[in-house]
Amino acid sequence: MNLDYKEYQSLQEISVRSTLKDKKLMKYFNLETAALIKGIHNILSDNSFHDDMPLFFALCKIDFKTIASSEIFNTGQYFDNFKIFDSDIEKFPRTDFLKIPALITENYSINGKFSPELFNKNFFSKLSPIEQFKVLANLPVSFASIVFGLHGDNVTIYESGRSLVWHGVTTDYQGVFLIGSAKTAIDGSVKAGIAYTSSEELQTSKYFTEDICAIEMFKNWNEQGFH
Amino acid sequence: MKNNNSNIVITGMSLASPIGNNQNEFYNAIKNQHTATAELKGMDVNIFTKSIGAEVKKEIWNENLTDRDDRKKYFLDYTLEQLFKSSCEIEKYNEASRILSLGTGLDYINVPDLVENISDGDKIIKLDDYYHSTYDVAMQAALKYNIHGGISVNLATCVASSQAIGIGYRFLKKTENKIFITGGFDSMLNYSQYLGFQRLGTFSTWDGDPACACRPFDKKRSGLVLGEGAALFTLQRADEADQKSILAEIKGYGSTMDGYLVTDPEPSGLYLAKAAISAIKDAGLSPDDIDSVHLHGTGTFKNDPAEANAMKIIFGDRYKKIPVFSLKGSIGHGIGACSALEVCGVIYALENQVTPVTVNYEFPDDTVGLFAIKGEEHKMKINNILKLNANIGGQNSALVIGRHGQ
Repeated sequence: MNLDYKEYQSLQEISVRSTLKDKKLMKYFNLETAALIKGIHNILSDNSFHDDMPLFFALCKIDFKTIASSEIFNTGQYFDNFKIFDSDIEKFPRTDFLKIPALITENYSINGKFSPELFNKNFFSKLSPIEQFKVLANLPVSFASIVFGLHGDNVTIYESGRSLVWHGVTTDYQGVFLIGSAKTAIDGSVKAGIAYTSSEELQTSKYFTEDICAIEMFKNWNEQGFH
Repeated sequence: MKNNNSNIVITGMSLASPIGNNQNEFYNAIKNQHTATAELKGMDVNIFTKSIGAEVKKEIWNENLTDRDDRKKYFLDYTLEQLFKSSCEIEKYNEASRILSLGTGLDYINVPDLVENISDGDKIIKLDDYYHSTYDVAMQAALKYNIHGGISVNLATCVASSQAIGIGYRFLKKTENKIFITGGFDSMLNYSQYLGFQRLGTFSTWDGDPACACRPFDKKRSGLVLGEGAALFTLQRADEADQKSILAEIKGYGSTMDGYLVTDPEPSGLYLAKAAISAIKDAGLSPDDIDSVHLHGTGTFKNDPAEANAMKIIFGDRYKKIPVFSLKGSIGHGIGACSALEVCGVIYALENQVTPVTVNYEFPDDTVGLFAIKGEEHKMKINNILKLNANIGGQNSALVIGRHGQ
């Protein structure tokens, strides 16, 4: 197994510009996509691949914590943390649910009651359609397919390391392929792991039968070696 | 894992759909060409530029359910309950041998409740109360129904549930004494997700009768109409199944990526065709063995010609002769649940030996040029049906589903 595992701190640069032929793609990227693209680039720089090579990917859940509403109102940086930076200081705000607490200050309610009209007027009508591409969970895989010319077997699953291993073990593809995972935390930090592996190798992993959050599986492989 | 191949069969089915919440209702609606696309009733629609969708009949819901609830969670619970009630196969497997593999959509945010509670001063807010990850929904369902062999939740939008079925098929080909409970559940008929889709500009612009708004393969097609629902199946090795319970056989599966654009399908249809050819080869068949095709058939301007081009690659000169259909004119686009709901239509076609009518297909389009059925359903001998799906982002999936033993 050839592994690339990275942890990016909040506001840390995830430099993907140099990996892209079409620089405009970056405007569609969220943190997970940027981290996945960077990791695949690192792996494929040292390894050969065919365009029918599979890519199996697991997106991990964001863990919440109990917070006071006043804390949400007062932390402007909460939202600002959700940006990725390139060397050209291009910024790409993440606009999924994590944006909502900050936007709530714009008031979507009338007399304490939610107003669909205000929600549309003050949020969605101001949102660029591009932002929609940052909330679709399958787009990290789709962008990786576009950037690296991958056309093979694929999947985008949620959370489970065991399920990710199952997809790798049961694929019909004969040869090495990519499996990966990414997880964004509530503070805007992101972890990403990519492995260049095979069905035969994954079948020997303990995670074929034991479940764990996919990103923790990559972290364990990175720290303890493949098992 | 062993490599002793076995046939993989569907032995049970349950569904919650816009045209019926059990097999009989669903079948009758297909036969009678019913459509459920209509003005939305479940939400305040004044904020939408278009408010057409295909909603699941409210009869299956808890009376207290409101437009703030995560609808897909109820669809999953309903279909699991129905499947467990009707299946004699599940109980043959111990809890650790039952695996849940589902396709679904975006996490659900209860925006109205969040807005109203967050406005309440220093009140402690637990965001988990307003944010429902689809993984957690599936996990809770697995625990409730004693499915302890593992779960797989696929998020690949329009191919999610066919890929979820696909991993079940592949896994069972190599593993004995397991049962997959598989399919899909989804609803985007809530404020945040409907508005988000509206911003993408993909909704049907049809100004006439909402029942005619989704028009797969039609020259006057005008965009997609959202649907919702759930469909679940029990998937087993044929040598472990009660032969009388077998509804159909999953014979092959393939998946590819366009690597083209996130917004449009690859126009030549090359990689969709490659997924199909891979699935047909996996089934040990040739394209000549495919009798009918359930296409993705969204009724969008770019999808239908791309699928027609894929058909040319797969079937050569035969592409204009092979009957095709799409259920989306009836049930809308169920996104994470769409392939699973459409597999129910495939099983209908196999059982009744017909290619169903594509509702709202009236005017042939030369840029599509497919043999879509209108008027009366097309009676014919059918052993194998190809089921294709493709998503926003360019992931493609193909299943070959046929009569068991044919």
